[in-house]
Amino acid sequence: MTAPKKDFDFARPKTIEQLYNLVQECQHEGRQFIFSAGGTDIMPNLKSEILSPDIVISLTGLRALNNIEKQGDHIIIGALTSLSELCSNNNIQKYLPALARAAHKVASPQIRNRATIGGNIMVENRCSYINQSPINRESHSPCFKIGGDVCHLVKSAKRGDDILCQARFVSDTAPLLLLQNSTVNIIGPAGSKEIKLADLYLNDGIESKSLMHGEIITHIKVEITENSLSHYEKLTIRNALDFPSLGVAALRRGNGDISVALTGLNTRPGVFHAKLENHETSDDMIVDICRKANDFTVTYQQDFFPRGYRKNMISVFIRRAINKILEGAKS
Amino acid sequence: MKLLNLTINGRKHTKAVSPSMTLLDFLREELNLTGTKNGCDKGACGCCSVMIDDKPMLSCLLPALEAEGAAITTIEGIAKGNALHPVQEAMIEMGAIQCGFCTPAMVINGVHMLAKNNNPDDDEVKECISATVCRCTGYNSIEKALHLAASKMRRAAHDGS
Repeated sequence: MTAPKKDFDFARPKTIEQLYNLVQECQHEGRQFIFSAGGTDIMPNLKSEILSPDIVISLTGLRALNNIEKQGDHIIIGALTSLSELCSNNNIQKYLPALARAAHKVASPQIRNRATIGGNIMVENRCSYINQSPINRESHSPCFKIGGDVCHLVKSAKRGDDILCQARFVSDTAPLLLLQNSTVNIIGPAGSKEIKLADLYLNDGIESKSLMHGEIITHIKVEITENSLSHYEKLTIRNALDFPSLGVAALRRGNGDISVALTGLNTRPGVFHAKLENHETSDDMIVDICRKANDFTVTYQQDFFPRGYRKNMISVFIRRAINKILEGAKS
Repeated sequence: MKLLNLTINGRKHTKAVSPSMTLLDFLREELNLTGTKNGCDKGACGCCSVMIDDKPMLSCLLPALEAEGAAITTIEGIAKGNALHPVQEAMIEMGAIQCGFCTPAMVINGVHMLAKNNNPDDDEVKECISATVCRCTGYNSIEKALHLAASKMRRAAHDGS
């Protein structure tokens, strides 16, 4: 699959103004466009014909969106900051070390040099059917995600169901950002707005993000939580390149409350909280979070690991992440 | 076709390219720089690693036009004339090259790591080559070669100062 089957045009506007002139032009001429940041997720999808736009509009010319800044109690991360810049940034290492760890767990060194934080929180949901070569896909009927009439994971799914597509949410960085009450700044043809990161994520594997076509994320605003401790644990077969079979971010606030966010286990991320009682982190708090997490999880046979193993690992990884935090709290 | 300007191994190029051509195809097919290899073509094998503005990236995941204005180093730009880079010397000395398909990418990633840190520990070496697939060596000899290259570079830095 050397080159994408369908030729596309390519443009790299240098300013937001140029970007939206181009978007307007495309809409006027009826040309299908997609945005690309690092492109490390888009390019495989173009080559395997999951995406077939007329034009790829690269955002990498918008240099103003590549920065990290501390403003009071917040860290503002430009959406085009590469994951390797994020990992090595002093403010991130000082105030959000678990985010640096999560970003470091994404893909490979070469991909982290290119892939951006905006792209990682927007990463397309994945499934063991759709993310295969076109040759493999040809041997099945097309699924809902590419306009067909079947889901190969849930054969009983039919049009009209609440959740049509079970493609998994797989961002490594989103769980921790969710625990830090992050918000995202969005601009689009209709102007700019700020929404909670949690509101970016929807329930269905096809329409998995609330970003409208033509909108882009410009910044992510992350709250610095006083006296908090956090950690990220990821289950994968290999140390490099794998999307999370499951990922757990955990945060202990200064008041002792614990929150956990999950990735890889549903069409969207999940966030769960347990309040501190009697001044000590009790096993009941952890059991309660594990129970909520298991209720939330929708695992199918959709990964290298067997479904049952992955389900069993949910509680194991939640405990592992929380224990790591509690060790940190003691020292 | 669109016009692309970039610098490759210190030499400026201006060429018209198809917008959907990848940087990898541009290097191999348009410029005949076939040292950079096409393995999986979807970002999973690392064989197409090149340095873009001094950072290793995967040329198969990049439209060539994305490299407008960039300075690119491919394996052809690592040796200085006939003088091999210490990483290349060490790869030969340790028998870290068998079929040779992954070697350009191993060298590119190794050169980048050692330019930043000429005293890497085992974990750093392993991470450096973690996403470049080698089906011959079992990686041990490549790891040893990078450690050897590091010691060569430390010695050179010491002698030079």
